[in-house]
Amino acid sequence: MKKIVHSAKQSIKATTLIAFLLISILAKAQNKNTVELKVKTSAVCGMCKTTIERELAFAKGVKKSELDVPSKVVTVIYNPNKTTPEKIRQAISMAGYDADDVPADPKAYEKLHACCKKDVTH
Amino acid sequence: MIRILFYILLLLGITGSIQAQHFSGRVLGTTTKQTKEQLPGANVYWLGTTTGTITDSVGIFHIPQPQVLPAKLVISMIGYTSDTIKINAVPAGSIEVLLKSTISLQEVNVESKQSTTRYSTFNPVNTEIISSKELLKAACCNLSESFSTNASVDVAFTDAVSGARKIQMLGLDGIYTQILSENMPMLRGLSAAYGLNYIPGTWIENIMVTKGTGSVVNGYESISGQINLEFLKPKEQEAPLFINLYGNHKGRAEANVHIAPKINEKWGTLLFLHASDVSLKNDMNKDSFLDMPLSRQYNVFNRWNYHNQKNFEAQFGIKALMETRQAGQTNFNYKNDFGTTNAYGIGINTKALEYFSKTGFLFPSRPYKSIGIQTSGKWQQRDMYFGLKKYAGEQKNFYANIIYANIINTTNHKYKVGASYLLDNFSEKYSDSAFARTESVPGIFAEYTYTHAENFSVVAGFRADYHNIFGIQYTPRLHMRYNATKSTTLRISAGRGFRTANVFVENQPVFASSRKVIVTEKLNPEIAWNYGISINQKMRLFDNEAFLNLDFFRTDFENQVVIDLDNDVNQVRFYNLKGKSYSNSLQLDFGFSPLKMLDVKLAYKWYDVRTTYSQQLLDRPYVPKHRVMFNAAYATYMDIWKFDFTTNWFGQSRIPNTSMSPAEYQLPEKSKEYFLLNAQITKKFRKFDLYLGCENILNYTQKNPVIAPDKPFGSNFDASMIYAPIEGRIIYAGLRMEIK
Repeated sequence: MKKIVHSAKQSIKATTLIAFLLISILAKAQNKNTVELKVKTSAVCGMCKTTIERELAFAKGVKKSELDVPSKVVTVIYNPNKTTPEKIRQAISMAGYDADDVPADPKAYEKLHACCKKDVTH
Repeated sequence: MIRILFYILLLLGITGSIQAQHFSGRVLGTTTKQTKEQLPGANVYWLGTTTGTITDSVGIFHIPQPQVLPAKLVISMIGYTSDTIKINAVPAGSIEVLLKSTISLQEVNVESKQSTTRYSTFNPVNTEIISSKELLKAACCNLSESFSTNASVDVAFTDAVSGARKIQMLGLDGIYTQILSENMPMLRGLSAAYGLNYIPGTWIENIMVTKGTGSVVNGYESISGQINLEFLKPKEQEAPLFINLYGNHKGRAEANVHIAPKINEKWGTLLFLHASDVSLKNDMNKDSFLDMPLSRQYNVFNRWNYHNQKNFEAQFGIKALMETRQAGQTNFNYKNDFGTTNAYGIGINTKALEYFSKTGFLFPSRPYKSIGIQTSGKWQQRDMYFGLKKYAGEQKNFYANIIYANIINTTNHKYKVGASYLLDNFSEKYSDSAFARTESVPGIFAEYTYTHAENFSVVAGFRADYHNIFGIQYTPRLHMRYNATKSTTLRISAGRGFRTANVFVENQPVFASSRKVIVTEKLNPEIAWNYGISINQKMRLFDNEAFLNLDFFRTDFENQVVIDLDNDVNQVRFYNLKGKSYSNSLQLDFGFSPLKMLDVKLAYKWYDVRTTYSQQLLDRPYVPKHRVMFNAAYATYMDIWKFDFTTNWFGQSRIPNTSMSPAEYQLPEKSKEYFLLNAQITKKFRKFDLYLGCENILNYTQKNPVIAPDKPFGSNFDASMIYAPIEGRIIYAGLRMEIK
């Protein structure tokens, strides 16, 4: 019986610890002050939206991004201590798209699916 | 468009699991990989009615025509923006719907994500879909281990030496669960008990778990449940190359490679390669026996799809498997010690070769009509030795099934009829006795589905099989669904199942003991009736989707092959059931998301499983009466980080009687209760995913799992009395990557 109680205590301890870790990660993620940035891109379709949002998800300091296909504007929420608007535009460029005045990286642009190229008419 | 229609129709005939209907289509979703993905489990219904359905594993749905036109068709899926399509006239062909993923900024209150395990609201059969995402929560390794985060399927430990694991459903051994591979019976006969050990988790696209008896279309063998495995398809593998590597600190290494070269529009192929190896000897409990066997496995599966873009589609594939396992005492050396009492060794060698094919024909003018033909063949061999005991088994199997689907006047009344043929040839040798038998079973079946436009559906099936040894077998099955409200689903099911036992392979753990195998009489087939009732309630909690599921299943055996370990501690007796044998199973599941990206699942299970052993009705050994499972999964934005945590609590279970043994070798009557904790972290990078995890965090192991380990050839030795893990804490890490 003692053993059972002991093992129960251990598991509850471990469960609590993990819950605590999760909560602190969440708290950390949500307490940071964030800034919003709007960037005009050369995105033309839903596939472009996915590419850009995915690329930005991997960029340092970016919390979230949402691209509106009709206006081609991507709204980026980021942590200003970790990244800058220049770096974000650079990341979009490296994904193969224009970002405001930063032109698309030619190599990345070449690799885009035909329907995602900006000169395609939709 | 017509191409898609043909494709869908062919598939209908081929899988044989879907009903033909007036109006069908396919639901696709955009993925984070910028591609389109078929959406299984999406809800499709007519706005303002409760007439609806869910998409199958490849995103296809079939829905009755609306009562009035124009009507609005709603397609919704957790994690995607719902779409409503106005239908002015029923289209001749099928439609394709593309749903957009909803991970977005503004719609915080609407935003939700796809749950990795889903219950459907429309399917009359109580089915749970486990996606490949859910399987990733516990990255190791093969399917027998993959169910650790799922409450409906239990993973049981078998013996202290062979390292094999078994599944259980409704508290009954996995042999009573019918395993299907894309709707064809797969793990049967010699592989019924341990076959899931030979299916790498990465090969799987999704798993459908059905409690209770399944459809008669798939045969007569499902009793406690049906598990349908959908393997990855050539068209679904986006990258031409996928690599998965796994290693743990106890020396287990695994590699999976999928190769999907692009051929052309008509042909598609996918080659799966798997290799795993354990070559490090571990004996943590210092009982001179290896905790896990040394093993090596090579497993290859190549599948092909052909589609002539007009009116014919075929799928076929071949699989080959080779595995060697060696266990027993650490100092055992096959060359010097095999067949002697120098040291106790165990060897399990498995070889298998199999093929399958599926073809479908259609009637272009009648989309609800189809013919599908399935065939498969398998050769397998299992050679084992446990100390001085030797076993050799070989099975040759052939299976064919033809399914014709059509309607009666309207799509409210659908039916399927067909015929099947099963040929099994077994030859087994145990010690000095040889056993051989051939089973030849032609059968016919019919299944009728009635769908009420509002909220009710029923599936009634019947089959008759002529078994060359056991005569005619009738298999009736019934499933009903009633939607009391839009979010409350009630289901009942009843049916009969039938199977032939293969006592040696199915009870392989017993060989790892000094028990003498005694078959007291000619064993009859196992026959059972299963009845189930379930209620599923969907709701909103913390602004997210939540569900509550309660089910109760009863299985009554008319005949069972009883495995009697209680009568005599030095024997295992097999005989036909005399008296009662039943299983009552109650499961309560609760799933919710307290935070947007945090999923919590809680499950409680109560089992009352009893069998008559020599006139005594006793609990089935090693089946805990109570179990609790807790699973929490948290993912950050775009799944860049994922954290998974699972706790399982196992209550006490009965241990077979050991009162005849000398005092030092006796075991208590009940097992100890214990916890198992697993956790895993996955980090997604641009080009690959890394995962790191820990199984059995508390390092809980059964103390002294082997009885009399110092005298393995003596009369008290027993390594089969196992209710808990033998292996302690395991730390593992791995990598998954797609190469474009």
